[in-house]
Amino acid sequence: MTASVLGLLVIGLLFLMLFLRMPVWLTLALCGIGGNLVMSNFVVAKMLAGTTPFDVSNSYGLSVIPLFILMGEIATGTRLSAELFQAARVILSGLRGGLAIATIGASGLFGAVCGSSVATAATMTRIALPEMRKSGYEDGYAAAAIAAGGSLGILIPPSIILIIFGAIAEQSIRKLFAAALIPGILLMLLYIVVAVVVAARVPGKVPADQPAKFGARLRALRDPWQFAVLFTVTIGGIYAGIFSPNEAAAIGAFGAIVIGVAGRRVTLRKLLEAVRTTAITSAVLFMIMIGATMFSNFVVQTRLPHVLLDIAQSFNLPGWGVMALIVLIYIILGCFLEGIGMVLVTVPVFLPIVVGYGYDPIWFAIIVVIVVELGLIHPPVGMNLFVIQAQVPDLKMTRLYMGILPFLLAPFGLIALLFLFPSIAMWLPSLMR
Amino acid sequence: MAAKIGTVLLRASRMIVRAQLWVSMAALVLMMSVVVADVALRQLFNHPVQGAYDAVSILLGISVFYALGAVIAARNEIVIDLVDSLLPERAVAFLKRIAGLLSALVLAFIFFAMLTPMQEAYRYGDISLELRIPLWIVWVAALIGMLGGMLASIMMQFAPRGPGGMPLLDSAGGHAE
Repeated sequence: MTASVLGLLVIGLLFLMLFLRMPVWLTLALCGIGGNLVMSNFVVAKMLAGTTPFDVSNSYGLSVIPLFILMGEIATGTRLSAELFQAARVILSGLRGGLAIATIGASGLFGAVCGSSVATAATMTRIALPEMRKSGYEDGYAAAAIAAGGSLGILIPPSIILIIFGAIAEQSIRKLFAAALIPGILLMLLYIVVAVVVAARVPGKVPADQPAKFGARLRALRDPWQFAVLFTVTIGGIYAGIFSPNEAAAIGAFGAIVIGVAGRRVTLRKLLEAVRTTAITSAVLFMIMIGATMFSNFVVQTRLPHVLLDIAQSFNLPGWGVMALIVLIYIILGCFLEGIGMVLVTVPVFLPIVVGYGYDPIWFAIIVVIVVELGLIHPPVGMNLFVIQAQVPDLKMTRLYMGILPFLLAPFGLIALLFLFPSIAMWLPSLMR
Repeated sequence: MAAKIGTVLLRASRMIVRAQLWVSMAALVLMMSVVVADVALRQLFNHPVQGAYDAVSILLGISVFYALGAVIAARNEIVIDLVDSLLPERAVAFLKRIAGLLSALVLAFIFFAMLTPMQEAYRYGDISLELRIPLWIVWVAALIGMLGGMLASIMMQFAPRGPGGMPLLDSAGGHAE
């Protein structure tokens, strides 16, 4: 049996184990250790199992993960998201679908300090859905706007998936964050366009509300100043080259604590809860990364990505054709795989092929995150849809499915735009030293 | 008698796992504080914290390893649960048991595999770059964290009540009952 055939068999086993509800970290670690045992010997497999957990867990660069999660946890526990929503609501009042637009805008902005799609969707469900229901918005449309807006959290920096991608693909996190900014804003705008078009075409779904006065709109701009400070200091600090991502993450977490404590928004109990959740969530992610490192070590040894690249080239497939195929595979995987697991399983296999066809890994990272984002909202297994439904049990899933369908056009549109104009993602990183 | 011993063991494991989680949380807060102090001192006085790089790396390791037990005890691991709606409850419970058993075995193997580099770090007198801490101490700290993970995965095999089993801790790291 050749190494690449063994690689394919182990990947098949990996998907089987995942399907049989083995934990993602365990599946990756077992396949990595087992694969190395078969390909090399016991000593090599033991060395890999012994050193990888220590190396990954003691990596200075990866400290950015728990620190950004902590910032997001604390921000979620404060009234930051509610203030963003209220400000957006007043500013956009009078527009048909204004509350949905406010939800998407506030979700995008909140995602810029939170970094988690599920947390953003959960928070916005509590804040925005009762308001939209009160204003007579149709349930499916309202919930879909929250699900779509919530998904922005993983694309708009800071993005945990981008950090993990950067770690396994050895790419600069600063550049990845820079590359995600314009596509993130663009996707937010595309979601808003969808919300406006749906509201205009089906007026029964969305009643218009009373417009606020100019002065009230101006005052509303002032309220979420804490958010502006947090975003400017952390993400602005990274783009300006003042802070490394680790430093920005630590300052962001510390800043969120200061804002929360100074404004009496967080109690010590809430703070401890945020730290506890962060410790557990980070450990979950690190367990997966440890397993993924073992697995990718095995994949590299099999030379499977190079064999797949040779096969693709022998079929004379154009670069865009191969990329379209990869995107399709991601969309299918997104139906049943969790986002981070999907990235860690697939990137070691796909990245060499993508690079072999001359695409930039940073551009590919943005495509991958958008597809993961799509996986969060597309039926049948969209995590954000479940998060919303879990909080609002009387909301029918079929309504949510119908409501989300037009919003799916936005990420597909963005992927098409990124294929046609890669500079949407690559322009900002190109300005960085 | 056996049931009483089992209860005591479960309570002890829960306490150990929760104590380790507190260590993990403390390491996390300390890590944030070190970075903030380093940035503040560098920006304000051009005098960064000596050994910040080492401290952050070591604290991150402690934070991760000492939370492993809580992750396993609270069943917080990421799982693709598509089959839950396709299979009967007993089959799902059986798959959970297999996963728990495999987790315990893999963690035990990793623990065993980590002993060699720890011994080598001790034998060759490896030290950290800035703080010059003997690395074997860091390895021992990591191994203690791993023990918590192993303990949790083993106890999960005995703790379960009912199909699929109850977690030892709730999803936030508190008592499950």
